[in-house]
Amino acid sequence: MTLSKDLRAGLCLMLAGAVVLALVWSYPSGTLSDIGPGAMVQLAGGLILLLGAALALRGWRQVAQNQSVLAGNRISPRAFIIPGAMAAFAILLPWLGLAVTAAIATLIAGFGSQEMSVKERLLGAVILSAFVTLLFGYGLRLQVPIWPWSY
Amino acid sequence: MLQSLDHFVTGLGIALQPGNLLFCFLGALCGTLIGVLPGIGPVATIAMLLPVTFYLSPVAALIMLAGIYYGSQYGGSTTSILMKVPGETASVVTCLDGYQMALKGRAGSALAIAALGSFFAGIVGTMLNVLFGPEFAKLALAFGSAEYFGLMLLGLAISIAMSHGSMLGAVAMVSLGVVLGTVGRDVNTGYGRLTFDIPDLSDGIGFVPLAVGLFGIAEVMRNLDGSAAAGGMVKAVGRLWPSREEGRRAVPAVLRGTVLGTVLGILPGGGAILASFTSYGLEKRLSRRPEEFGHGAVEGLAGPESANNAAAQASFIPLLTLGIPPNAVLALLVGGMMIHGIAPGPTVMTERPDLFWGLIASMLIGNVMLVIINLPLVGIWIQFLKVPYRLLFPAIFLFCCIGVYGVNGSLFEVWMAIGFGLLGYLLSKLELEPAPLVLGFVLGPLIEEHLRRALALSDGDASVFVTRPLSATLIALALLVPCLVLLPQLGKRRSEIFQAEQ
Repeated sequence: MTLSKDLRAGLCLMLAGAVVLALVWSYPSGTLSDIGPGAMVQLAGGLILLLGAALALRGWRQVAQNQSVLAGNRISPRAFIIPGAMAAFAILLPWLGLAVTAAIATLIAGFGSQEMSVKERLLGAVILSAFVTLLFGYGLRLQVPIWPWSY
Repeated sequence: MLQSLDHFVTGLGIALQPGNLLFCFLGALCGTLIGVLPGIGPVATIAMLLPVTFYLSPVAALIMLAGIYYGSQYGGSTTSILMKVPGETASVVTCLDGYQMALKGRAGSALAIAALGSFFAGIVGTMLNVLFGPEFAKLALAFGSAEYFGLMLLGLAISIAMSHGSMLGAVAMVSLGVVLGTVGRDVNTGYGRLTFDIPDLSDGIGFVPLAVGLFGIAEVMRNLDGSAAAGGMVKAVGRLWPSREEGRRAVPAVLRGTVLGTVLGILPGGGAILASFTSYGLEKRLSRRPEEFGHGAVEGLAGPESANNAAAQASFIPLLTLGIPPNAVLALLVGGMMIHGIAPGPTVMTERPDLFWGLIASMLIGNVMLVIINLPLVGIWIQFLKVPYRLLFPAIFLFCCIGVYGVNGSLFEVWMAIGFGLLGYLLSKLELEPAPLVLGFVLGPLIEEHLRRALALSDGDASVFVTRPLSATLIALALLVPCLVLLPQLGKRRSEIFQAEQ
């Protein structure tokens, strides 16, 4: 069976709405004249669940009638290199300082594209790191250690 | 009104100070650059540059950030016309007829019409800011919580109606944004909401990691997995000056687009995107040759291009007078004002007249600069279009990292941006739009605050929203707008426009 795009999006929204509702269920909702901290989130969470259900239902009908609109669902593992490189930035920054971290993170991010040559990757990392270090580190004096030994 | 002109002249003096002039130019230049480059928009750029503006004077900071916003409207059209890739969301419509004109060898003329139309609209939009800004501020002082609530509801309704794809999904995205906006300590009761006892979350989710994640990181991810496709690039620009016939057809469209854009730009939730889509629809309907639309109709280029720039200028009115950001870009500008300890709202004009009038006057100067940057120098921007994405994305990535870290010097926010990047990627795979989410995130807390206040003042009597005429009108409009889209005829037109864009 093929999942229609509405069914898939609807199910995801239902899940998100259910999680939100479960988390905020116990928050006090208050009264109309004194609305509590829970009312707005509960309303929004319920709405997500409800709309997800409506979307899923529409998608389900399409599947049943073999009219499902398929979504372009190509997920490439290559894309996840970018958040991975950003995580490396977050982990390494306190240890290695801006200059080295920027170079390493950029180098990792470069693997997001197949078309880059090794030379382009290395050169890009060095140039970008130098630029960023000069601009943010020395120029704007961002509160960040620049070198591994600047503690 | 004469007094406004007086203030405006003072503002010109502020905007013409060498420092401010320089940052106006930098903003316009930067805006054009990121407008031209597909894969990076004004939201991500302004988010990345927010930490930089910390070091500037508030006036210079806002002048530069505003310049990036309206500059991107100019630059975006260049890419749309030459490559059929919207450099910026609001120039999606420009792809339709602009690219067709370019294919017919009229690329230069299309570029000139887009730039000059934008210029005219920008100037008129700025002057309307001057004339009506103060009037709006007076009106804003009469606004109670019920009216604010209605106005923001209308804003959300419009952004829902204008989002791509299914409306159910858009409403769900707004709701998700509202949920994310409530994270942190509740202002009224001090109750920690969805904080999971993480101290970093008690002040709520930062706007910069959210915006950079959803628009910067997710966009790079999408580009790398090859889902974003590009058309062939038109290399020959040809003569810049439009022919007499083209001019004759463009002028009325520019005038209509300017008026339409100004009116729609003032509405919260609308802004440039709403204006350009509506203008395209209007031109097509008014034209005696509707069959030419999509095949290089001059009106279909001139109208929306003027409308989106007029709207970009006009959307500063609700921001500066009511304190309501009408779209994601201007929400970031609120962040920029907050960094300098300025709360946007009706008091800005009285307490910081230098800021208000300096900013508005700078738009006039910025528009003049933009025409010069974009028309005679168009060759330079075409060179930028030839830079392959593989050389571009590492730079975008690195600026995203440092931009997020730089706002508060917080690594936690970098992790948040990673999370929102993944969320944005997931949403694009599910064909759900991130833009309504951002607006829900920004307006959610404001809506909650005004809802609470209005109901507390009326002692729990919900009729306060319908007995006050202004609030009743706004709420009625808010309910009406999504219904209009559901009407079969209009709904069909809406999907026609969105289909044409693909």
